[in-house]
Amino acid sequence: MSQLYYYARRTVVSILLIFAIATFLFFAFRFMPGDYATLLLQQGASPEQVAKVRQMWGLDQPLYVQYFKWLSNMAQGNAGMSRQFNEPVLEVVLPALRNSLIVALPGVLVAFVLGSLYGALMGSRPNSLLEKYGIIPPNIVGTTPDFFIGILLLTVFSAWLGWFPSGSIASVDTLTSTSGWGIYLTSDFWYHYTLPFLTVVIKYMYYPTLVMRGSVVEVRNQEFATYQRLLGLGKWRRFRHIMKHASLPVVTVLPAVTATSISGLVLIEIVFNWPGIGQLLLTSVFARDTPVIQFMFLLIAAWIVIGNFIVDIAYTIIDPRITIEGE
Amino acid sequence: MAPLLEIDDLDITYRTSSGDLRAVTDASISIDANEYYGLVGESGCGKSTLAGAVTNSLDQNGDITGGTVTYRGEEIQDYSEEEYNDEIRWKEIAVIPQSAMNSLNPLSRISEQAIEVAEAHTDWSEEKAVDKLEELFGVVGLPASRVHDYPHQFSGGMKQRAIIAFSLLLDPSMIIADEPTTALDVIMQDQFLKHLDELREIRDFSLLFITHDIAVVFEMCDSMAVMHGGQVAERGDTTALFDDPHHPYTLLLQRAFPDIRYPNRKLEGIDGTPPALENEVDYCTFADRCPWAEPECRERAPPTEVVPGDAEHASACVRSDEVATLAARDLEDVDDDHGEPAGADAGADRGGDESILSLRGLNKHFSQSTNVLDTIRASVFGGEQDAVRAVDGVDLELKENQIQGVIGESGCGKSTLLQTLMGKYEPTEGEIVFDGTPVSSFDKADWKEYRRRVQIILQDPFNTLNPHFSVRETLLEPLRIHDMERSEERVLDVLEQVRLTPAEEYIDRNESQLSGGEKQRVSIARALILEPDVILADEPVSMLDVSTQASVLDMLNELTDEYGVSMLYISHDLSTVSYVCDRVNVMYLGRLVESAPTMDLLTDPKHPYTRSLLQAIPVPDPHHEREWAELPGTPGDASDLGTGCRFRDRCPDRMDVCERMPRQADVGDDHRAACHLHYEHGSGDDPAPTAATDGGER
Repeated sequence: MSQLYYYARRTVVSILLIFAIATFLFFAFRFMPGDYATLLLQQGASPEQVAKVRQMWGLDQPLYVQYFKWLSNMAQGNAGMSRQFNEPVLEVVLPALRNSLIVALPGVLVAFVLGSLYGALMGSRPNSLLEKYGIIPPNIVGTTPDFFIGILLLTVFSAWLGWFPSGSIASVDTLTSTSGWGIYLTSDFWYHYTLPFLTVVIKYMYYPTLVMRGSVVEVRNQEFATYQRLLGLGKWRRFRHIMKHASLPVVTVLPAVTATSISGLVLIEIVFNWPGIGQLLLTSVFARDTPVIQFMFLLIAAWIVIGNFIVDIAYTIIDPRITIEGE
Repeated sequence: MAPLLEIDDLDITYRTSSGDLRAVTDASISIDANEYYGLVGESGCGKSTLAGAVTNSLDQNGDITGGTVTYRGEEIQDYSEEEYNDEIRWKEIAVIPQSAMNSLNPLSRISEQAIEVAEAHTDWSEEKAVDKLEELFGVVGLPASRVHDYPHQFSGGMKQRAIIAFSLLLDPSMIIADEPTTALDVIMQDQFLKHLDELREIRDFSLLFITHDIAVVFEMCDSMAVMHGGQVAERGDTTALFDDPHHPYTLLLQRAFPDIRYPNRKLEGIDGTPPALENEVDYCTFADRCPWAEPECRERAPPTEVVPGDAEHASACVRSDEVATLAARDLEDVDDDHGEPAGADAGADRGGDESILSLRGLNKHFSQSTNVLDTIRASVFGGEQDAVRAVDGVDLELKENQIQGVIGESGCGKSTLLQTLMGKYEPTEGEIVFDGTPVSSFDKADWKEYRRRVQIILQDPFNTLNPHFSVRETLLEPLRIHDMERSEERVLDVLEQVRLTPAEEYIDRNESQLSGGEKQRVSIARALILEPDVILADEPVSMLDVSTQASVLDMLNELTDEYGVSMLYISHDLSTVSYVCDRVNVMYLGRLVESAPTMDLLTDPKHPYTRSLLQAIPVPDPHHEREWAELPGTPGDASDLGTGCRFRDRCPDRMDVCERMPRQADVGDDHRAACHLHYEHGSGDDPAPTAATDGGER
C-alpha cells in the first residue's frame, strides 16, 4: 500500500507507544516509595499539614481517579504543578529544556559529523599510522567521565588561560537586561556557551568515530567499492560513496545518543553551572518533585520514539533499497 | 601485426611480513586484437595477479619486479595510477569483475554511475554518457528505458548484462573478465557466456577471460594459457592445447574435469597442492605434483619452448615432447590395474531394496509476513496467500547404499529440503520416514539417535571446522556427544577412510594447517566417525579446486561401496552429481520435476527444464559445438506461483494445458517426470484445462 498509509500507521503506533510509556511512568512513580508529602513529613511537618498537602494535590484520591485526572490534564497541555517551585511544570521545564537543547543538539550533531569524518578517515587508510594509533585519542576521551572533561577544559581555558568564563549561561548584567529568547542573541551568551559546547562535542565524538571506522572498513571491502576503484573513479568521489554507505549505522544510533546525552548533561551542567534540564532533574529528584521528573522522562522517551521514526525515514532517503511499504 | 597486449617475462612479488612471495614468475602471453584469450589455473596460481598488473590494480604490497607489459607498443607496467587512469583505464582496457551481482553501487542510479565513469575519463556531457548507456543496454538486451533504475531493481541476470554494458561504455579495445562466472549457477553462467559470445559479432574487442573452469575456456576462447604456481605452464591455440597438450598440468587438468558427455569416465585428481612461492622461483612449480617429474625439474625453471610446427604453442616443461606418450602409457597402466571404470556404474544402481529415508509429500512453507496482524488474519480467515513454498510436495525414496542427487538452480528449495531433513525445520505437511519410523513420532532420544545416524557435510570447508580444535578434537567431539567410545584408534581409522594418510601425521594438525581439500576430508571424517546410515551432502565439492574435487568425489563413491552408507547429494552442478549419483532428482521451485537413474536422465531427459540444465553445462572440448540453453528469465517468485506448472513461463514447449499443475507420471523404466508433454490427458484425475490463458507474461 501507499507510503501515506505507512506514515499514518507509524504515527498512530508512535502515539500509542508514547501513551503507553506515559501510563507506565505515571504508575511507576506512584508505586515508588517516598513522595513529596513524606519529604515534608521528614522536614518536620505535622501529619495534619501533610494530609492537607495531600488533599490539595489530590494524592488522597484513588489511583485510577488520579490517573484519569492526570490524563485529561495532559491532553489539555497541563503537565501539573511543580512541587518545589509551585509553578506549572511546563514553565519550569521548558526554559531549562531550551537551555539544554541549545547545547546538546548542536553539540551532538557536530560531534557526529566530526566523529564520522574522523572515523571514515581512519577506516579508509588501512595499515597507516592513523589507522593504528588514531583510535587512541577517541578511546581515551570516550572512557573519560564527561564532567572530568568539563573540569579539564575549565582548568585550562578558564583558570589558566582565562579565555572563557568558568560557568553560568551569561553574566549577571546580561541576565538582568534580557529575558526569554533574547538571551541567546547576546554575544555574552555565546562566550559562556563555548566550553560546555566543546565538552559535549569532545565527549560524544567517540561513538560515531568508532562506529564509522568499523563501518567504513566493512564497506570498503564490498564489491562495489572494488569495482569503483577498477572504474578509475577519483579518490574523493569514492570516499564520498563509501561515506554514504557507511553512515547508516551511525544514523541509527543518533537519536539514542542524543537521549543519553541528556543524562550526560546532568554532570556537565553542574560543572558549568548551566541552568538546563540536567540541573533541574537533579534538584527535582532530591526534592521528590515527581510531576517534573515524570514529565522530563516522558519527553526523553517521546524523543526516542520520534527520533527512531525520523531515522527510518532518513534510511529511505539514503538507501533506495529500503522502501516504505504498508503490508 | 603486433599483438594488442604483450606480457613478457613478467615477475610479480608480494611483500609480506613473513617474506617475499613470488606470485608470478617469468610469465609471457600475448593477446591479439579481437581475440578471446583464456587464462586458466587453480586458486593461487597467479592468474588474477597477472591481470592486476595489466589493470594497474595490484594490491599495495604487490610489485612488478621484472619484465614488461606492452599495450599497443607502449610499455605500461611502470605507469602511475594517474597515468594509467588518464590513458588506459576504461578507454582502452575495461574490467568485468568477479561478482557482477554486487558490483554496482546500490545507492546510485545506474545512469548516474555511468556518468561518473564518463566524467572520470572523458569530457562527455551527462547526456552523452546516458545516451551511450542506453545504446549499450540495447546491445546487451536490456530495455533502454531502465537506465535510470537502481541496481536492486534488476534481477541477477540483468545486473550481469548491465556490467557488460558498463565495460563497453568507453569503447575499450580490451576487456578483462576475472572469474565472472564463478559465483553463478549453471543457467546464469550459460546466459552470461551467451551474451559475451554474441557480443563478438557486434563489437570489436579482445577478451582476457580468467577462470578456473577449463571447460568455459575451451568453449569461449581462441587461445589460452595455463598457469601453475605463478608460471605459465603452457600457452597456445585452444584446440592445440586440447588435442596435443605439451605440459603434464594441462593434460591432468583436463582429466580432472568432469565431462557431462562421459559421466562414467574416471576423473583423476592431481596430487598435492600448489607450492608456497617464497623467494626466487628457479624450479618447475609443478614438479612436486607431477607424476613424471625428473630431478632436472627441481634444479631449474624449465624454459618455455615453442612446439615444433606451431609458433603460437609453447610449453614450459623439460619433457614437453614426451607428454603425449607418457600420458598414453599411464592410461594403459590404469586400465591394466583396475579394469573396471570408476564413477557411478551406469547400469547398476547400488541401491538396495529397503528404503532408509523416504519423503512423502513433503512441504515446507515459510510465512513471509512478520506482522502480527497479518498472522492473525491468516489464521482466522485461513490460507497462506503469500507463503513461500520452498519445498512443495516432494516424494523421494533413498535406498540403502545409494547415492541420490537433487539438483536445481539457486533458490529452488534444495537447501531447505536438506535443512528440513536435518530437523532444522518442521515440515509444513507430509512425512519423513527414517528406517521405517516416521520422524514426526520421534521423542527426544529418537531425535538424538537420528542425528547420529543422519550426518551432514556442508558446502564450505573453510568455515565448518572449529579453528581452535585439532583434527583429533574435531573428530572426538561427536563421539563424546553421542556417548560413544572415544579411542585414538577410531580417529586414526576414520582418517584412513577419508584417505588422510598417514593418519598419525594429520591427527594433531590444526584447521589452519590443512588445505581446502583436506578440510573437506576432515568434515567428511567427522560425519563418518559416527557410523551413520545416511549422509546429507550439500555441494560438498563446489568450493574445492578441480584437482581436489575429483579425488573427493571418488572417495564419496568408494565410501558408499565399502561401508554401505546412503547419501543425498545436493548441488547445482549436474556434472559432479552425475559422477557420483545412482539416481538424480531435478528440483524446480520447490517441486521435483524429474527423477530418473543417472544414465537415463543424461541420455533421455524428459522434462524441458532438465533438457535446459543439461544443455547449459559447458563441455571441456573446443571441437564440441554446444547450443546455448533456451531458458529465458529467472525462476519466478516462490510466493506467487499461481496454480499451473511452475516452469511454464520459461518453458520452450509451453502449451495451454500448462496452466494446470502437471502430475508425476511414469515416463520410462523407473523414470518419472512432471510434465504435460509426457502423459495422456483426459483421464479422470486430470480434467482438460479451462480456457487458455496464454501469453501476457512473456
